[in-house]
Order: sequence, then C-alpha cells, then structure tokens
Amino acid sequence: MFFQQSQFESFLAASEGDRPELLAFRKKAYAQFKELGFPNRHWENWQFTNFSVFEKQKFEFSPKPLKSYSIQLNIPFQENAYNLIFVNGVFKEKMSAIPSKVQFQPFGKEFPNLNSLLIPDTDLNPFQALNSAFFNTGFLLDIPPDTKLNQPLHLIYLSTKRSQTTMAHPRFQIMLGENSEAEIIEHYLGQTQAAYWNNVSTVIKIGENAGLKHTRLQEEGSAAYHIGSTTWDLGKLSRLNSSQIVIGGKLFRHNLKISFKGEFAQAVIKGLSLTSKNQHTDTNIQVEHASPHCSSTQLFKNVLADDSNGVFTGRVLVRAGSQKTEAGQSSKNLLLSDKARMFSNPQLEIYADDVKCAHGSTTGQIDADALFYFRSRGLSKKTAKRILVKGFADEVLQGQTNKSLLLYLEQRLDSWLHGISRT
Amino acid sequence: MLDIKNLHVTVEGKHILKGINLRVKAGELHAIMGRNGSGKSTLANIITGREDYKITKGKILYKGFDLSKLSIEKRALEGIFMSFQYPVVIPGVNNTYFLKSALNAKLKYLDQPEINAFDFMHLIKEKLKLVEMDESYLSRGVNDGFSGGEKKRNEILQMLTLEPSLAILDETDSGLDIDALKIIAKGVNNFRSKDRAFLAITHYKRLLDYMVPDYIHVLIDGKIVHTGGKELADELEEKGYGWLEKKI
Repeated sequence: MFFQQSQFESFLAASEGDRPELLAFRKKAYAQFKELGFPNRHWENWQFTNFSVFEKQKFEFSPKPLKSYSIQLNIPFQENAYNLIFVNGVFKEKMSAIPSKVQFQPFGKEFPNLNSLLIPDTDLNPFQALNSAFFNTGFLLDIPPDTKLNQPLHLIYLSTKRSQTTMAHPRFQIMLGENSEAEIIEHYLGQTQAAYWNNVSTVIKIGENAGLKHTRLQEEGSAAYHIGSTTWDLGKLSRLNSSQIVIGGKLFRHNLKISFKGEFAQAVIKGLSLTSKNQHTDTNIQVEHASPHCSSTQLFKNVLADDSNGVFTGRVLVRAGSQKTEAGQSSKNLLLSDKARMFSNPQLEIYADDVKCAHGSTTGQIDADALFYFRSRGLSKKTAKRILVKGFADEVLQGQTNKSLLLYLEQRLDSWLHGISRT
Repeated sequence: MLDIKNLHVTVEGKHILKGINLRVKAGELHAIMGRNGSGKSTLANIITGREDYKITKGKILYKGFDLSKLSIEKRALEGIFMSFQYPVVIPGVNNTYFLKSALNAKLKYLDQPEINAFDFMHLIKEKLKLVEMDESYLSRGVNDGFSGGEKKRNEILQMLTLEPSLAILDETDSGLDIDALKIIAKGVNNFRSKDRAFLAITHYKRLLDYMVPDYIHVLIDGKIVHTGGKELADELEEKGYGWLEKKI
C-alpha cells in the first residue's frame, strides 16, 4: 500500500465541501494512480530513472498550505514582469501583479471553470494521476483573444525551509486566446537544503494564430525532487517557443507533450540541463504531429559533471495524413567526468510519406584539439574548459529575446561553471 | 631565442623526430621544408607543448629555459605562438570573446591591467585591417563557417594581437590562393623585428618568395639533413628532395 492512500483519504475528508464532480475526478485519478503504481525499471519510458524514493519515503501532505516564512527574492528580471508568486503553495497576492486584460484565478478554496480543469489523463503517467488526485494549489490563467501582453508573466513557485519532508501538487492551466501574444516564465525556485517533492502539472493551450514564448526554469533546492508534466496543444497557425532550463534538484523528471491540433503551427523547443554531484535529470518529450504543414524543432543539451546522470528520450510521432511535416530533433551531451552518465534515446515514428524529419544524438567529452588550441593561446586549462563548456551550453540560450532573462541565465551558467571547476 | 639539442620525439609510440639540432636567434626567420611525414608538424607541436607528444631524448631551450617543464599555456604566456595547420572550429565560442580572453590572460601574466571592451575593440579593428578581415568576423564563432583562407588569416590575427616572441607558422600557406598568401606574408613581414623569431614550416617555395627566410632547413625522416640560405628554395624547387636523400 502506498503512503498516499491514507493521505488521500484524509484529503478527501477535508475537501468535503468541494463540488461533487471535483471529488469524483479526484477519486478516479487516485484509482488510476493506484492501478499504475510508481514506475519501475520495466516501464519502457521510465526505465533509466529510479523512482523508488516515492515508495520508501513518506512525503507529508497538508490540505492546508504550509506556514510561509519571510522570503527574499532577488531576481533581476522580476522587475519588468507581471509576477505571480507562490510561496510553499500559497499565492501571495500582495507580492503579485496581474495584468488587467487576463482572467486569473488561483486555486485554493475555489476551483473556477471546473469543466476546463477536469481533463482526464490519457497518458499512463502515475505522477500526473497523483497531481489530479491531490492538486490544491496553482492557477487558471485565461488570456483572452487579441491580447498582447506588454510584459512577461513570471510565475515564481518558491519552496522555503520546512520541518517536515513534504509533497506538493501544483497545477497551472494556461489558455492563450486567438491572435494573442504572451511570454510566460515558469520558475521553480528552492531556498532550502531540506528535502521536498514538487509534483507539477502544467497545461497550456495555444489558440489559433497565437504566439507563446515560454521558459521553464527549474532551480529547486539541492535535496528536492521535482516531477513535472507539461502539455501543449497548438492551434492552427500558432507559434510556440519554449526553453527548459534545469539546474537544481536532486531528482528531476519532466514529461513534455506537444500536440499539433491545427495546420501551419510551429514549435521550437530547447533544453539545457546542468548537473553535478549526484543529480539525476530525466527529460521525456513527445511531439505529436497530427495536422499537416506543421514544424517542430528540438535541441536538448545536457552538461554532466561529477557522478551525475542524464536521460533524454524524445519521440516524434507523425500521424497519417500529417503531410509536409517538418520535424527535427537533436540531443547533444557533454560529459565532464568519467563517472557521469548520459542515456539518450531519440525516436522517430512516421506514418505520412511527404515529410522532412531528422534526428541525431551525440554524447562526448571536451574536444582535446579545442582544448589544446585554447591553451596554446595562453588560456589556462581550467579557463579553456570553462569557455568551451559555456560555448556548448550557450547554443541553447542563444535566441532568448528577453534580455534580462538571458542575462540572468548567463549568470546562472557562469556560477554553475565556477562551482564545478572548484571541485 | 630557440635552441634545440639532439631532440628525439615519439608520437603514439612512433619515433618521429630523430635528433634535431636547431638554433634560431632573435630577428631571424627560419624555414623548415620537407616532404609529408618528415616530422615538420611534430616539431611545431612539440615546441608548442602538445601533451600526447613525448620527448625521449634531447631538449628544447627557449630564451635559455628548458621548455619540458612548462605547460602549453605557460609557453604561450612566455611568448610562443603556433599558427595551426588546421585551426580548430569551435561554434559556440565567439571570436572576440576568445581573443579578448587570451589577450587578458597574457596581460595578467605580465602584471599589466586587463584591457577593457572599448579599448579591445579599437585594438582589434586595427589588427583586422592588417589581415584585411571584415569586422563581421568578430561576431562569429571561432573559425565557425570560415573558409580555409579565412581560418589562416584568423591565425595571423591572433598572432598580431598576442604579440609573441617566437611564432611558428605550421603550413600557414596551405590551401591559400595567391591573394590570401600575399596578405598573410605582409602581416608576418610587418611583424618581423629584431626581438622576434619565426619558424615557418612549408612544402612550397611559393611562401618563401613573399616571406624571405634567413635560413632554410630540410627535414628528412626526423632529421635536418641540409641547411642553406634563401637560395636553397630555388634549388629544391628545381631538384626536389631526392639528391638530399642520397646524401644521408
């Protein structure tokens, strides 16, 4: 029996006042989770990551949010953004700013627009099912048609110190209306060395001819577990540009799913994972081309130091009839230590005949010739390595049009590089 | 400047240099000629400090110091520069950033203040003119998308920026058309001074028409078998290397 069983029962008891359809949804989701159980090494899509901690360790769950401590936030790109700040699951209205043009409803006591929330999970993802059973924080964000936001929306989900090892199941649902343009930064930040588990679900729907710039930045605490599930539905002629930056956490798994629901839509997805010590990051992306004339480009990079592990599984599925699809997928990985390991597994599955698809994967160490070249110009071995790794990682950051976010990411990359070269 | 004594070098266990003796004084330009596989590039790389090349006998003295204890970067900081036969392509690293980092490493080593971005741009634009390179090179990755000639000009640009005492030009003429060759020779000739020494490695006389050497050495099977003045280039052009092989 899972620890979650009794936690779920007491959660339901505490949620008695909720609407019956929400309770039914939760029960169904929990039943699905119970049937699936946590992934083990026999699960093809999950086999390179050890999830046993979620069975061995009890993560406390409180139907009421944690007490929030005084917090310090010092993020430069915060200043020119609409900040949506959560501290340990509690929405901080006073610290946040919501643009007048959008509908924003944080979860807590009420669950607005229930019908749009209660989407049955079709993927066999036990973490997603757990999120459906337990979610009690997050928001619903509705950006109406023909809206252009003048500043990015910056979601900060902050986890601070705590006396117990806890779990949280935030859910973020974002709808971008027709012809609208927005930039969203989804930022998970840990300011504690304590262990905790964030099991996040993000659902994004991009309407016809709408454009979304999205950055998901994972900077959890060093003992944190972060499981994420993100789905994007792309309407006709829509554009998605998304970057996944992974720096923090002890164990990280992210399932990404992109579905093309209309013609002529484009998605550019990039990822950069920087790991050291015994960190483990696992990215699993599925791109489903179910409409003709759409294009998807993926570039995922891992830089692995010390004993860290990385997993990348990418599947591009081109359904029958999705002619003129253009899909590219590239996984490039740099090992900085003999003990670091990378599992990369790009896959293409094509059922249409008039398509352009390519994929590739490389994993290697720092190029000895490049290192010799730089050192022969007077750069120390350490500096030469740092510049080469930075150059490798920078390819993912290039093209970031938000200058203050780019500056922040470059600084984070620099401090990460300094951190690993110290050891 | 450079004093090589009975130098023996192995590369991956293969005996390549078999007793090189060579003295290069400040102010001189020496050319090393020879067929493919004679050990010319090995000589350039061992002076630069390539780590997988092993000295089994003899030594290299630079400004009177034994080089064998010095790391690659220390040699560079002490003023040794090699223009690579095959400059390495490094996409994600910006040319300007690389050059500025290298120059600042040198200034720091010399206990001089680092150069700021403004002064560096001013300096680099002056140097670019000398090798007739476009300013757009500066925003590109290191040798990324460069033609053969552009890569070699970039090497010379680096040399002019870092101002070494000893420059080794490893087949800097290979893959160049005559215009690019003239530009490079001009860059080198303007850089020659009584305080600097050059070692030019080449297959062809062509380079030496534009970059006139004080001495020419012929390398055959890891040994210098013949040394002459600049007129030796004409003799080699006419007779090839066969007559020297017979002399061994």
